[in-house]
Amino acid sequence: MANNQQISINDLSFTYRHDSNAVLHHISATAPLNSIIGIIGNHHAGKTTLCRILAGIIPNMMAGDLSGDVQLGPLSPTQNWPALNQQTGFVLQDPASQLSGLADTVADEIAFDLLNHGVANTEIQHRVTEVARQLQLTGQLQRSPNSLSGGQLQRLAIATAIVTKPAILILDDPTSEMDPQGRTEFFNWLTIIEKTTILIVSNEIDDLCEIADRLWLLVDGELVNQGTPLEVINQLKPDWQIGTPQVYQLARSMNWSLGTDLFPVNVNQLRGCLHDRHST
Amino acid sequence: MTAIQLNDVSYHYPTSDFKLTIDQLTMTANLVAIVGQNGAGKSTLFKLLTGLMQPQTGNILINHHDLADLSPADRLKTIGIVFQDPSSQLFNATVEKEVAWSLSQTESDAAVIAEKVAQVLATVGLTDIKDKNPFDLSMPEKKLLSIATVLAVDPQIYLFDEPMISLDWPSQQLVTRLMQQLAREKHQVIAITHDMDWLAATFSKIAVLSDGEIKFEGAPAALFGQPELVHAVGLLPPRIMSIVSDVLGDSRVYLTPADYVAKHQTH
Amino acid sequence: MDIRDDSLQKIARRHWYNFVDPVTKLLLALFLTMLSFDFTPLYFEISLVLFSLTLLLLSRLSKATVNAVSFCLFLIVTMVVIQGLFYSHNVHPLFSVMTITFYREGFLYAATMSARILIIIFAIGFFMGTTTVSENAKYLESIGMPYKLVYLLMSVCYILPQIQQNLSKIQFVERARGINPQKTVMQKVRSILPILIPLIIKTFDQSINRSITLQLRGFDRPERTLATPKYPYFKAKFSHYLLSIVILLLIGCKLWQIISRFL
Repeated sequence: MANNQQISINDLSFTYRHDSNAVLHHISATAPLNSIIGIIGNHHAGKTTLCRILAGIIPNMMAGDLSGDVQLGPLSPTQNWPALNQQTGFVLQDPASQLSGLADTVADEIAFDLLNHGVANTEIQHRVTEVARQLQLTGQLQRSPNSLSGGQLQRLAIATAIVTKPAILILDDPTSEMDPQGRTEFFNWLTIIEKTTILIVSNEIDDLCEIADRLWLLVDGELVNQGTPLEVINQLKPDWQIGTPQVYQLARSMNWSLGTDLFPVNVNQLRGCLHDRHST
Repeated sequence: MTAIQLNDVSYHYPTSDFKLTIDQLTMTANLVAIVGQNGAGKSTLFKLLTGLMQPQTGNILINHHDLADLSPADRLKTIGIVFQDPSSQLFNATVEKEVAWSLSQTESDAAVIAEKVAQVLATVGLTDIKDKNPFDLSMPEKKLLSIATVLAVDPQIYLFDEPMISLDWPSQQLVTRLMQQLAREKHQVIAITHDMDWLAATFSKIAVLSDGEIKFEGAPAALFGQPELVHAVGLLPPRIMSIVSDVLGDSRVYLTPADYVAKHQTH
Repeated sequence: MDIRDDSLQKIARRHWYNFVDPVTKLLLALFLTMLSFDFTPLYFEISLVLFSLTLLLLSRLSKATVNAVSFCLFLIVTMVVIQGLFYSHNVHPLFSVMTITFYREGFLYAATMSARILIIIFAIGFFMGTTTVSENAKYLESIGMPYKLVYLLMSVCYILPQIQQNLSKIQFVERARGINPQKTVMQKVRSILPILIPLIIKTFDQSINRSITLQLRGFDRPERTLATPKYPYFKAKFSHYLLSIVILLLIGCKLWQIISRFL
């Protein structure tokens, strides 16, 4: 049954054209709208392909053999792509190739999306300033996008994706080139965005466990587990070869459990766990 | 033992105000990390260490020989470079040929090349895909291949620019093990990184760059024992330190979760 | 303060050529080229060269323009030598060096050709040096060209710097991995050959990614706000009409010159 309040993926399989092996095999997953979903897995797991399907790049711009069904709330990337795209922000793995190349300045690059949405010039002014402040690009607004460092380019790519205030944000490894402060600030900032569904692919398992409401774990194109970070991390199998957060490593070694064989995966859970131990 | 020594090195770009100045830096440890914020001068220092770009003043000595005087063939045998973006350093038709190309620069015996290629591909776990086109590989595979092309030449010094970026967990473990192995075999391994957790767990010595100058040289534990300095150069302590200080109010230095466990299980 | 339109801070730094719109600059280049083809007296050609050179010198000279001009000068010298020696209508000797004789006809012919090449290079250099991709895009859109078409045109312009950027990156790495000295022209050419395929693949990949994200970013939506031109231009429409008419006349004139030869 389609539910307007959740993301649901139903028996999704995909094979790229000119390729004989399927990249995704019979994936089914759900998550409520307006939550943060972390997508984890190693290379060849199908994370990028899944992002492309969620954003409608597949099948609207890249061809292949797609079966199954995807619903993002009331919309579907296969059936109502233009309407969905209007409400979606996307950040590619390679931020440099995401830029229009038609802007002399960072400000113009960010304004590009607003112009496309038909936003009035006075409003553009306001929104660009606001988003540049959020992503610490204010000092770079008048500079050429070509002069930015890798981390700044990633922040610019994110700025262009969020400036239109999308209801759905799809981020494919958006922090790989950021320095630690930039990355920490970015993950903290994700938690304060309201009324937005965020799907984020990342190798930063520690940060994901701090902020994600749910994790989807892909191994070789199959969704092997989904649930809260606490569930997914505690149920990892060694042959999936997934790294664990430091909180979990620490708690496990010190045997600070949250009850039956369940170890905390983020700082809050660890705090709660230690508090309970002291009070009993 | 290889010793790299920088004396009064400076470099500035014609188009920007940035200037790198290093009065004295000696790297003798086997695993050295160079860290610093974006724009601190890491990449500039890296390029100078490759020998492909010369400092405007001063010199870089490798075992008392000026890096700038090395012939191209000697430079290859001395310094191996693994760049951050592997996709722009691969240009042969197959994985196997990619490694062989590197070897053919200094070696002409086909049998030796073939043997060495097979050996390094096995080391990085790419034997099964040796006939694939490098462009069809995943990012981690490309990175491993670019490392293999350097391993094949077996230089004295290995330079890595942000080796952990775009790797997944298993390949991060593999690359870390490889680097440690190289260090044990008396190679010198130098890496630029911004990954503090990896740095704390892996390196014996770090050099911290900030505003184009060396602000700290020493062991990770010594750096992270000076929170004001860490903050001033725009770095963060390893995550385990924030966790432990947040949750347990313990602000001592811990490099990894295992480090904490070791220190607390003794009593 | 308007953060996008930098008019407030930059008004003092605005140059005269910013008041000429991109299309007028292009038409001007075409006009000068047609003039040089229609009227062949050498003094006239030389004054055209000087005029276009002045335009170029009054604008921002970029390194790329200087490179292009120096490359052309190299070609021109070769051409003058070859035509001076071997032009088929050579009759009157101009001067001799040892036993080699240069002829007047070939020299004049080559000089005219060189003048035309220089005029084209200087005029296009003026256009490239005084406009940016974004200014051109905004202007074309503001005069009613569909954005999709503007984007197509501009991405053709964008692909060259992109290739150059990728090339220098890959070459640096190639130098790092190999012992090829790349000092002579031959060595340089040979060093480019093996990296051509990765270069093309990489550039192609980036272009595909860019076109995908532009669609995601909704560049062809009907509700797109029309861009406003970057600068207020001086009598743009009038210049377009005037230059177009003159260019058409010049083309007609040239055609008539050609046709009348057969009559």
